Amino acid sequence: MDNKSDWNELDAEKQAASRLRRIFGKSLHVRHIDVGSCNACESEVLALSNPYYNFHRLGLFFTASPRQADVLLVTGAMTPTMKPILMETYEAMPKPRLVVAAGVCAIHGGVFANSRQFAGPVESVIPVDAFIPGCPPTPYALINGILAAVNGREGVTRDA
Amino acid sequence: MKVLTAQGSNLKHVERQHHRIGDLVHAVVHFASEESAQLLYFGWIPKTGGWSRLLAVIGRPKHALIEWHHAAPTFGQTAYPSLSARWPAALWLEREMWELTKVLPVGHPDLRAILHPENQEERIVVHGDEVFQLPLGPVRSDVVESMFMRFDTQGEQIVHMQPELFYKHRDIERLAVGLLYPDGRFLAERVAGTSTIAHATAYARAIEHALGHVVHPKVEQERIVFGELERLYNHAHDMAQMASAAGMTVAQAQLSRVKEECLRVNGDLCGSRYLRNAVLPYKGSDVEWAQVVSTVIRRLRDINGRFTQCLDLLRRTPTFVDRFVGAGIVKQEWARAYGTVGPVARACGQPVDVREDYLRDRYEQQAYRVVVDEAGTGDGWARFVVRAGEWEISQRVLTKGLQLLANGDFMEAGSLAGTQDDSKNDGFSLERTGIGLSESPRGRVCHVVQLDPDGRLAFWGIRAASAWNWPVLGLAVANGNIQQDFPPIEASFGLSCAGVDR
Ligand code: SF4
Repeated sequence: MDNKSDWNELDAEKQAASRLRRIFGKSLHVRHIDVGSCNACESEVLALSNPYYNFHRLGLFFTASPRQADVLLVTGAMTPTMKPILMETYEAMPKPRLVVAAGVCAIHGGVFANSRQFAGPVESVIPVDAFIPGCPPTPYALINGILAAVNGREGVTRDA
Repeated sequence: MKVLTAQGSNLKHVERQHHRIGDLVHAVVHFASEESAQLLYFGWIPKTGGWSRLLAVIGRPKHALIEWHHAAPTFGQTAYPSLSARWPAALWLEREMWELTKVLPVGHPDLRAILHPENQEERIVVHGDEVFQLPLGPVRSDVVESMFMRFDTQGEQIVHMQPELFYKHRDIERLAVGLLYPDGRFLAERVAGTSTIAHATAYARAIEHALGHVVHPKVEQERIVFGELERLYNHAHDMAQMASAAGMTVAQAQLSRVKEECLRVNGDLCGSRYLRNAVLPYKGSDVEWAQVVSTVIRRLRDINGRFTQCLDLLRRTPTFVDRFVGAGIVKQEWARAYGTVGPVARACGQPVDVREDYLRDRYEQQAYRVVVDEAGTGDGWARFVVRAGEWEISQRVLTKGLQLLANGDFMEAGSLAGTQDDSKNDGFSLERTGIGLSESPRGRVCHVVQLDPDGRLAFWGIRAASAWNWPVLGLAVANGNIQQDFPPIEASFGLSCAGVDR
């Protein structure tokens, strides 16, 4: 039960990161959007930038505007109110753009799947490149998922 | 060790039935001026096999009382005198009730749809020269929850601000109806993910109270320990956000590191970084305390050192302190009228704290004391100081509480099965109805449940801590601050949307 960091076990991530630079230019900018989460997912997404995970080392950054974003990281069970907002945010992103659905809520509604206020999985509205299961997914899983989305796009042209 | 009832040893629940809703509102308004009386719950509930009725639960910690006021509407009644006209704490509640039931609270100042912000018509409050409207959200910068704020500014000055929530309204209360109560806790844990324990505890206590059961002291002791673990990582998070809002990048990195370490302690302790599955109705967790306690205490001491050092540095950094002193002042009368809770209320000198008000006997043995800003300044800095004090107390409570769990002789306090709860008065007519309270890192969490005869949820009402504090944020922000003050003020409030939106 001691705090060990995993600085030396990141070769796979580093490879993915260099691939990421090839496809997206220098770095990858992530825009997070919450479409109805319980806030634990946000907490884990925020952890990506803390010194333990430090996702900047892979060339990943959060960005304030969807206009500068390469990846849309969606968390939460989509509510009818957030549905058009999610679509608008996606539309505002330049191509090529990736979508990552993080957490079981974003994948299929999780415990909220039967709610009257659940407007469907993220995939029913916008195309999703990677799903990250977990409730909430751990920060490592999040990094992994984002990089998996990038890997899936190798060889894809700029207007995808 | 004494055997305590669900919420504390001497606490009594009394029922007051009113003939008309008007009488109920009249009786409840009376408490608005009673010092330390708290509006715990206000809303419509179904009565088993009958009409729905209006329920107001008032906590009177000074008298060790929880009063249940309820009244049924007369046939075809479509209006009643608004409570919020006299006690603003009910403002948002009554908006929600109006939208759901269409029973009009007469005298309510603002009845726009609250649950469906997309249908909400715009309300322009500020008119005049050089007034600008600045909408912010629902997709905002940084990693935050979706919500919307409308600023009216004149130059740099913020004249008015209204927060709009419920973008993430998941309708948990109605989704749960018909669930068996052991299943309801999955939802309870996910009302607000960063207050998992607070909501799970309130839910468990409400269920137990409804069924007239008191769990074994060891189970309650675990709830206390988990609750404080939750407070640690949340306070570290809030401090990190405050540092970030003031542009202190290094402090933010250090504090988010502290938060991560707290989360890892949680994860190693019970398999979930957010302490899921740790608190259940009727049951304890399956952590083998005797084996882990010393490691946990050692790691917490480590973390504490880092945290305290970082706060000491921040306290001596004028550029940090300056951003918070005098920023976002919450006046004491607002704190009282709006029923604010948690560190926000305690920074105004109001000692509102479930641990102190309703659970004192449980916390007494672990050197607990409520942290208030004696001067009642109510600014961002006071909120910082209160949180810092609470972190310290939490550490103390945790060390004591963990040791108690590891070597406590809980066996002498009765069988593991628990005991009968007799805190309700004779002839309490609301059958299988119970209330559960807990103190989340953000303040008081209150759950009211009603169960079917076969243990299914017939009604579930959730009042998260932030629900009481959001309306005050608007007032505090417009209280002589400029645009640049907003991020520090918001960070110092440390509000969450998920619990309010449900
Ligand atoms: S996946 Fe789990 S942690 Fe994430 S928003 Fe949904 S309920 Fe919360």
